[in-house]
Amino acid sequence: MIFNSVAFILFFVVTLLLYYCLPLKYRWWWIIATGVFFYCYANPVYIIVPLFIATVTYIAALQMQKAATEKKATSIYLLAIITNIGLLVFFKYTNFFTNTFIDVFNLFNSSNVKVSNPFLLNIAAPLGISYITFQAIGYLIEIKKGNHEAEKHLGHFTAYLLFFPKIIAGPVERAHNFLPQLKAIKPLQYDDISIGIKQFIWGLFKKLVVADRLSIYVNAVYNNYEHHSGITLLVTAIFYLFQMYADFSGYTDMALGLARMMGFNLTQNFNRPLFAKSITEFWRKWHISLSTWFADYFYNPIAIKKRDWGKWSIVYASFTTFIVLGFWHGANWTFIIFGAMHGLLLSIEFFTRKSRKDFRKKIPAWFNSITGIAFTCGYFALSLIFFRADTVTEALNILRKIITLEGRFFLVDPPTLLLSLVVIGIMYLIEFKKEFFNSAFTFSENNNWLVRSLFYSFLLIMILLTGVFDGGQFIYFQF
Amino acid sequence: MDTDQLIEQLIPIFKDVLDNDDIKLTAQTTAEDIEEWDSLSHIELTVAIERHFKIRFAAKEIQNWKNVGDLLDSISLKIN
Repeated sequence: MIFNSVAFILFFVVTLLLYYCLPLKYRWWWIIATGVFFYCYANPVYIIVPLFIATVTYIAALQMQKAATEKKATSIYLLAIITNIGLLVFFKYTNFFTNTFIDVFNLFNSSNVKVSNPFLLNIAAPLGISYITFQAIGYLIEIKKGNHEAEKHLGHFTAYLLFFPKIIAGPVERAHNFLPQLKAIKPLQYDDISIGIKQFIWGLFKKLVVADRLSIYVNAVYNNYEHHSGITLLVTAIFYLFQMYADFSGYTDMALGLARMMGFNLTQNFNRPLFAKSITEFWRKWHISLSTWFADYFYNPIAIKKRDWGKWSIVYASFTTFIVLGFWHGANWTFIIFGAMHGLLLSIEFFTRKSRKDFRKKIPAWFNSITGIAFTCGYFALSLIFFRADTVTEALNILRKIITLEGRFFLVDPPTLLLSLVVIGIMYLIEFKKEFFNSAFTFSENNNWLVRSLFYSFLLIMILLTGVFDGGQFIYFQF
Repeated sequence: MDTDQLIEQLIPIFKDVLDNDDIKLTAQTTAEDIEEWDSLSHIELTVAIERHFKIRFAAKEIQNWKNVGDLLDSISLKIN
């Protein structure tokens, strides 16, 4: 059930009405019930997976805290972590590992008959499995470190993992940000509904007007990339950068808006990454809940452990983190290259940070901003070619064509193309104003009721007139 | 060594590693207050502090510092 479907809107209206009718102390129960329904709507059998993860993680955390010895606590901790990672690996990576194994076997297989993979699993991964396991693992690490008390209420803990606004694609919410809000649950407040609806509309605009509009051209070109010219593929790569941002940040705005209407503040996941001046800064602004998760639980422990290596500890930790982060997106070499590209640039930026800083002092600030932003967006768009392609060969073929820039531009349906440019422009200008001139004048938060209303009416009219309503699923749904 | 003396010794290390001569430190200073202090430079900073005071922090300590005050506590425990 995607957020921009009629079925979901109906589901949410009923959910919200009953939610605020229920006495405060029973609302956790309603969060679980709606979460289970939302989950079962996609695939009823798989509901067993998040319920199992919730129960195992809940029991393990309490037992770790009660354990008589540190050794016993560590054993329980490892068992729970392995269970979580095991489920994730089983559902997402079994085919990748068995396929790779069979490919290597065939490489050394001298007979002409190539073996096909007998272990191929024909199953889809359960909805949001990566997000649920990451939240569970983060929770276990915090309890093990002794930073927080284990949750005593199984219902509250299950409600945390099954809160439906964040099931599909995050944010990767920390238990200790969510659980206190669940316990101090508050009555209906005008601000929650008003701010929540506004954020939802902004997300809906990004998804329906920008992302799904761009996806028409992007899909048409990428699905037949062999027949398209270098210049067409270059424009498509840039369109895909905007599509990806509008799709994922649009989803997140909708998720945060829905949660806010229910009285919850979820973690901010995007902070206008298209205005980052370096890849290092970019990862502080893009998918923040996941990048801070990786920083805290993966990157930092590695870098600290290897800190005697000096600067190389950073390179080693960056590469390992970004390769795993790439692989997290899916079992495909394209994602590993995507991750490695970011690990590489992050390392280069780290080594050159002092010389770049000296250089910055010699050039005007505006020039530095423009070149920094252009380079960062360009590099991210480049890495997204690997992210989007089905195979590494496909990505390399696209790159080869882009470098030569030969051939004619694919100009089919000029109005759609023009509209794509216009909607990118609108989204970019609104964010540009927020980034650089936030204090000057605001449409969305204007004190005058009329200005605010006009702004959101404009977004709604754009959605109704130019929104693509059969666009389909969010890109990050599959992860 | 008291807190003020420790901070006096930390400031040049911070200035050198983070390449910023305007850094001012108090026990309440956090990474949020200094632009150059991120998870990448944090490791370099830790190593420089360890070398300066000839001490070794535990991994858990490094990850649990919330501000300069926590860092000062860790140093004091080891040198006093």
